[in-house]
Amino acid sequence: MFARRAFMAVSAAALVAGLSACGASTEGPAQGASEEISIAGLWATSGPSAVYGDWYGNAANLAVKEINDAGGLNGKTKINLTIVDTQAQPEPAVTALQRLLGEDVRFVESAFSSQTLALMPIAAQSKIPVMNGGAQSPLLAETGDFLFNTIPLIYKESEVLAKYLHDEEGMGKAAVLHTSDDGGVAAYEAFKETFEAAGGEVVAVESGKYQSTDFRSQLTKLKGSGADVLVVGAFGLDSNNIISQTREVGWDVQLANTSWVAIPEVLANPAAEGLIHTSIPFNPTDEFVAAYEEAYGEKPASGYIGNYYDGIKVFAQAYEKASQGGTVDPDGAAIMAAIKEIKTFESSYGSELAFDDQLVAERPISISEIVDGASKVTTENFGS
Amino acid sequence: MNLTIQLLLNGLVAGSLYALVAVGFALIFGATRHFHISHAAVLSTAGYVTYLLTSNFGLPPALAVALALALAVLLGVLLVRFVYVPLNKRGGEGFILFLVSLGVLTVLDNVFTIGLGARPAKPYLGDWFHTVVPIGPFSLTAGQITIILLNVALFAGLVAAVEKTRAGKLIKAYSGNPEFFQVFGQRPMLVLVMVYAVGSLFAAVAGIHLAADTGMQPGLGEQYFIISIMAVFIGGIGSLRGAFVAAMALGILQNLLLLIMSAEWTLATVFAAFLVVMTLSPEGLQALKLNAPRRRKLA
Repeated sequence: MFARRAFMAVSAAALVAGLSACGASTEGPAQGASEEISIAGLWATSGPSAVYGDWYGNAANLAVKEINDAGGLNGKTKINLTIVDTQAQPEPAVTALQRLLGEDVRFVESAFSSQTLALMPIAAQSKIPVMNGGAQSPLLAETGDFLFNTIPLIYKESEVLAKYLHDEEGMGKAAVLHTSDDGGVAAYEAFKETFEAAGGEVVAVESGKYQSTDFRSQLTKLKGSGADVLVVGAFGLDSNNIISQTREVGWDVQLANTSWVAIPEVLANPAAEGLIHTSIPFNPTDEFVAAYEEAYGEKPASGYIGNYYDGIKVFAQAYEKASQGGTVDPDGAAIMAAIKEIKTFESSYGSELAFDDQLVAERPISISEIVDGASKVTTENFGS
Repeated sequence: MNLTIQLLLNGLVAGSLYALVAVGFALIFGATRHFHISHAAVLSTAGYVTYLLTSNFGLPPALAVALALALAVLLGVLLVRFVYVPLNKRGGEGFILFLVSLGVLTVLDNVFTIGLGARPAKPYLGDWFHTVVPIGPFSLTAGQITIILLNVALFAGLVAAVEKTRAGKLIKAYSGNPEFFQVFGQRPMLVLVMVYAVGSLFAAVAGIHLAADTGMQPGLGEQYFIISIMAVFIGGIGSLRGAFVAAMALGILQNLLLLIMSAEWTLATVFAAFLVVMTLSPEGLQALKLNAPRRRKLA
């Protein structure tokens, strides 16, 4: 009896929810531009990569606020930003996107290779432009026509890192420990290819699951490889754990990683002292620094902030162009076409943001080292 | 050879953590047959509380650890006193208790997730914890050595207490036959509180180490709990020694497997081995009479 009543209550609730959802979707985009459009940020706000999510969220919120305060897109269309936690994993990201499509989302900012690669088929099918400013898997350049990247992909950084380690530091043998998500695998493959091209040899490689906390066993195995440098193919707190545990297994090897390693937790970690990493020079405009500082009480600490801020601004500019001054409501394909056409955008970086043909940002790459708890550039624009 | 010995040392650390959780669970399960899955929540609570007390309240590490241990023990005791026993009196047994316990685990996990934002919570216990201690050509951290020693000491203490003290005899008597126990005018609640308090203490020690070592995060408690129940089943339900030996063996096996496969496959292989053992002998390795024939007993 009770069970049946509960069942009826649940079905009634589902019915009501369904009806109201229908009600919402019939309103849809009418002729001309709408009063408000929804966009979404899908990234980790929990788990070991949440530190990036904080930056992305701050950046996206700031950009949206600036646009809305100025009257909105074309001076009339306000942006409504929703951020959903994906834990940097594909499944929650796909679920979130499917839900958001029902709410007529028009643009998505994504991050992390695994989740972005999982989102793209759905986004392409629904013609939703997606921006990525954090993930670097080379596969991201081959996802079709609905993704643009405000960050260079991993090969650009690996090439610079490999060349620097081999040519400047004279390191011939490298070991790699990477996580097995798309980002980690890409980091390994790109480094192996570029390091061997530079004349070095990857003498040992081990992998661990993304978000696994204990990498000591793998490090114990790698320690015996006789490598001159350990390349950490992991991001977020995974990379921080690997860095700590390298020292804990008593291995005093040179550490290296790409730009994603420069997060506060790693910088504060004494074990990271001396770590060599690539970095994308981020010299934000005074205007951007002031706006960011006013909103969040701190200076923008990472290029990732610039990437996600720029992402919204790129979308906004393309939207305005495609909407022809607010006379039509552009679909995703028109917005992407507008991005391709504009090609070079203003950027919070203090330099222009230019896209290549696959809509991947072209940015210079430097070599940095972690010294006294801060990341210091040692060679600016190396190899370029 | 060098690698084997270092992996063996790493295995001792992993095994110690499994053993602490497993022995605690074996004590509780052996005496009560409660499938107390919130044991995982006790573990994570201890870790999270240590983090809260050190990072948010600025307490010195030793005090924070002591309070976290006390709170975890209290949590275990409160669960049995105010959840399991009342439920049991109203006819809730076996599967019902498990579901309620699972509910408690889910709620507690989410409370910490909401409160701390699901970030790995890594309390700072002092520089000593991560100090590398060379052992010949090998090494462990001081924290790791501490957990191995604590594990052995706590286990030895528990076995001695169960064998030698009156409390231990009460636990054994209750485990053997709860109804008979009551007929003789003994109060079961005392035994329940004792096993839950001690069992929770064991899990809490593991939880604090895990948090300080790599950070406590949602799901970590469950992960250790699952491996530990494997150990309890392999060791034979009700046997503290069995659980201890099996847990240590699982930890060592998981690490030694690295000699022949990559790290991501070791846990899956351990699970596969568990399936084989359970298929051959559902009552665990003890029932295979690999060692001297011994009837099932608590310790």
